[in-house]
Amino acid sequence: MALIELVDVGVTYRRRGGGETIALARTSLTIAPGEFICIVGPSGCGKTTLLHALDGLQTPTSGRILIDGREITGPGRDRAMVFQSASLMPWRTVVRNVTYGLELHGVPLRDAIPRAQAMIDLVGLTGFEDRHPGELSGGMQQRVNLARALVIDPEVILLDEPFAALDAQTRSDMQEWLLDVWDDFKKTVIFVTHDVDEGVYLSDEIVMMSGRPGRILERVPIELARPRKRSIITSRPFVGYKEHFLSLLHRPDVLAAAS
Amino acid sequence: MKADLLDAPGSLAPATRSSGSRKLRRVYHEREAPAWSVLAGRIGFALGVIALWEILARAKIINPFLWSMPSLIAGEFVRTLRDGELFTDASFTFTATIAGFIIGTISGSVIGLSFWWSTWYAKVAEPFLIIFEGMPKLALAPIVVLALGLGIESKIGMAVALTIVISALTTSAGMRAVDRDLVRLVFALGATRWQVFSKVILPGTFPAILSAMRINIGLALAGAIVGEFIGSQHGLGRSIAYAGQTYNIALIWSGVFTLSLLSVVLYLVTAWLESTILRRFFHTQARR
Repeated sequence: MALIELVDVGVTYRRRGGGETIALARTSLTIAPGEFICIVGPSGCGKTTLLHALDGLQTPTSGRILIDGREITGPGRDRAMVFQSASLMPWRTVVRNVTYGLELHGVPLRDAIPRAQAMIDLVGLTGFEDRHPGELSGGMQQRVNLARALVIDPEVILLDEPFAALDAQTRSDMQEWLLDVWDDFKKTVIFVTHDVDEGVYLSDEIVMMSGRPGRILERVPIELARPRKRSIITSRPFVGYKEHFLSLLHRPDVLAAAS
Repeated sequence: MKADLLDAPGSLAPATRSSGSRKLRRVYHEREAPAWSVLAGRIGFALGVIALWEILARAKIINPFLWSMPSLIAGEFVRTLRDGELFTDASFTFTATIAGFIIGTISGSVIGLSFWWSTWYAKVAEPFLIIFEGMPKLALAPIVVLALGLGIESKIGMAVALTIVISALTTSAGMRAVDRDLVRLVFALGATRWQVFSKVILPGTFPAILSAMRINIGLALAGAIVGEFIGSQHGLGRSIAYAGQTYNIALIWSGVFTLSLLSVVLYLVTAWLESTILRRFFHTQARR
């Protein structure tokens, strides 16, 4: 049974001074519940557009997006977004940043705070609830960002290159951490990245996209046993997947948009 | 072996190394001067200038009638202080400055924030704002004084004219700098337009509004003074203008120094207020 269904979804931008840019060519995709999907592609391949369409921030020019059989028309509580920048409110404490989504939904603070606390514990920030974002490292801020997404208990978590701005060491720690956390909440995850290693390490399935107009090139299930240890990245199957995607990424038609 | 190389005849290494590092330290300002020596240097410089001025004027090397001299200036200062004139004038200017500063900053910020609600309205208003900003507003002083009278209203009006556009422009620039992803995210969480505005845009813009205050306090003072120049019953500006008309040069200087003092105090208080609010409520530092 599919949780998410994209039927012929296309996004076209009207350019300033006439003409049109096809950000996303007609795309169809189905995603099963509890799956960890990575969308991988060169920059400008429409992967962020696809993610925004899923979140309802971008209305598709054509086609329909169904979640649980219902067509989506805008942002909703069944989906939560995590951006590359942590985008926290610097004037709110960690716990109040996490409760914000619940406050918007009318949950009283006395109920929201314990729920936020549980998420803060889950992401490993116990003891930091009363700090302000400015006092946290980039990696910790990104954990708060994820806690904020998880606390509203969405069906689907959408992540837009969440670790791209972090240094290599922190990024690798955060990837391991994300898999740990995912083991606990087991929600459907759609993770956009341009980093092939990250995609293969994290996902159940890679959706490979190509340059403009953005379209899906292929879907490849990643059959690596879970839970995955960091050491997996030097294993033969991992390297095999990586070689496959890298050779695909460097094909001229795939790279088209990057130039 | 290394020592041999350095000591070899014709090698510049030892010499350049020691003098180079001293030079480098000076270039990079690595050595902090001790605080007491800085303070002593400042006091010394001020006393030196005052002494030089007094000597040159007494020796008639500079014309004492045109330039006056520190002893006369101090005399005028003490005289105006004693008969209460200084206090009346200073408090008049202070009141006009603060009132104009508050009105100008608040209404300018409100104008800036209002641009968030409609792109059309913002686009329409933009050129007018920039024209008004470019206008030499001090030249408007005669009109403002005619319209609002010789009382404190016209001085407040001038202070507002000088501060309102700065606040509007800084606020709207600050609004554009608010984290776009945060706005998207809060919207995606189901926030209404008003919630996005009050919970994200307003607090996100507040540091910019505060930083405009630091510029505005000086401008408000300048506006009030120019208003007093044109026509007024009280104020340090009127006192200076009057002293100029009666060739009381010492009184001009006394007024100018009082103004400088007022301006520095106002600036320091505003800057302190800004950094305190930012630290306590926004957990960030002031932008310099």
